[in-house]
Amino acid sequence: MSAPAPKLVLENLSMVFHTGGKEFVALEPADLVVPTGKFISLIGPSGCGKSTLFNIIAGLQAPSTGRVLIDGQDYTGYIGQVGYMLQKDLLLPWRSVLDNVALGMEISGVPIREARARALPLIIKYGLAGFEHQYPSSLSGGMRQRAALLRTLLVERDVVLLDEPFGALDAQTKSQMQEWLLQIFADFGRTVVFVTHDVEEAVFLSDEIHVMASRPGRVIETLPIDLPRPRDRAIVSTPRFVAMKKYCLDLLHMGEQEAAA
Amino acid sequence: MNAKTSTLPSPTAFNGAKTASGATMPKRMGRRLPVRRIWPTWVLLSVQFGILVAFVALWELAAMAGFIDTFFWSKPSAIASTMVIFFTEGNAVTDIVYTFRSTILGFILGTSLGAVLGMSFWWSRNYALIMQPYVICLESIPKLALAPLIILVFGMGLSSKVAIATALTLVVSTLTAYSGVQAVDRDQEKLFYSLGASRWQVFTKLVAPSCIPWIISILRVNIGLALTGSIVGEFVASQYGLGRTILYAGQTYEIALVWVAVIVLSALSMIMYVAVSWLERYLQKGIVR
Repeated sequence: MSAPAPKLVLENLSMVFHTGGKEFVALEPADLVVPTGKFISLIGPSGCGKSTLFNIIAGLQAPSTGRVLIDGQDYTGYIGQVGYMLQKDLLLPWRSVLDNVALGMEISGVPIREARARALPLIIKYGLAGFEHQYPSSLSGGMRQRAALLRTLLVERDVVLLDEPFGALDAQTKSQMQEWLLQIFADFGRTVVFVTHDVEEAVFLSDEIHVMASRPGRVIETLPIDLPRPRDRAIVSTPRFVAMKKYCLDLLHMGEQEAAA
Repeated sequence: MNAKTSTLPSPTAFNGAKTASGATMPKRMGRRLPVRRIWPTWVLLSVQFGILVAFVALWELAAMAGFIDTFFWSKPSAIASTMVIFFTEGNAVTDIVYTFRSTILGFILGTSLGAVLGMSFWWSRNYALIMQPYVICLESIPKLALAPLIILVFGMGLSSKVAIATALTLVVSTLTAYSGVQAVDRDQEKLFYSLGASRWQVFTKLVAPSCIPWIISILRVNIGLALTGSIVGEFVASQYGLGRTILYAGQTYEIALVWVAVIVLSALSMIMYVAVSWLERYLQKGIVR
């Protein structure tokens, strides 16, 4: 029996900038295969090309070489094909929370009433009940990220890119958001590509980790995480988890040393 | 507080010394935060009113006593009686309405056209670069210097005053709207494009709402400019209007009427300014977060 077709395939993707006669390799040719419904993470230091990779997948940047394939179709350079959540929540301050969450659908052409009707139950279900008519300025950091994530998910794209969504949050909110994200992931069943600096977060959330290094940006190794789902906070102290975390940290460290050399 | 200048003893000179009653002087610890106590409102209002009354009274007294030449400066009693005549038998209402109309029309026209023009610079970078020197040129020219030319083109009627008022407010609004456009968060744009938005969607849902607070902030300036434009237009050539009354009264040495017109104009200006401030606050509550 053949495996189901992977949802997202990055074929020989690279990004080279030519500035002032000099060549700067932001990303070395990388191949990535993401199976449907899986949660994969990219971890690596600054400058390893994670954001570049995301921009290319989202169609916001044209790669120097390579293609982006979604469900086998070449979507290189097309915008609006994947859900993309940036690190800043970027909620529009003049729109209510409800209208902000409905923004993605509105842009896709869904009539505003229907968009609001679809957004409202999710807002209530995922912890923002009572805030739908408030404005982003009255929300806390964690709630803003939740609203931003709901906005991203409501645009019905099978692939969702999350660029360090919890980077700006304090430790407690962060761990609450991670558990919330796992619940959302179980409910929505999308294919998620997650970028983070935090190794523990990556191991806790993902099915597979791609470790990257910088100077030049590249993927150094792929590590499957076969921890059982659903996962709870207690799994963080199990030996298997700790071993995987250590392995990743060692890889990152090695990558740093190579770059420094 | 005694007004004599004297050298005060050093802050620590009396530390530990005994006073007449036998208690010890406390050690001077250092400086405290100055306390600001505002006077009660009635005191402030009385003083404000008092200044006004004193000013008018002094003027009248000086005029009666002959210290001030009434021919050039007039006096409060003459101004008051002229004011009554102006409103009962004169053109007060016609003039006020005329000036008011041209101001408001110029204000609305200039602000809206300027806003649209400024926002349009977002659409095409090339178009913005091409227009840049022209906008700078227009901004540097004192628009009031163009008033005689505008009167020549538009005639003596209301339209010329509206044109001058518009010219003054247009350039300011354009530059403000353009600043608003340049201040749009690049990441917000990126978000919109990542959602698959078209340029028109980005313009209507992101750029335009972002510029509105900027436009609102310049409304108070614009109303002042529009009024200035109207008045100067009336100075150059007009049949009606408060500016025209001031000019006419000045030329015929009816100084009391000059003052009357100036006072009415000031009152009109203050009313419009307050109205626009209210508008600004109302809009900000509804739009700006």
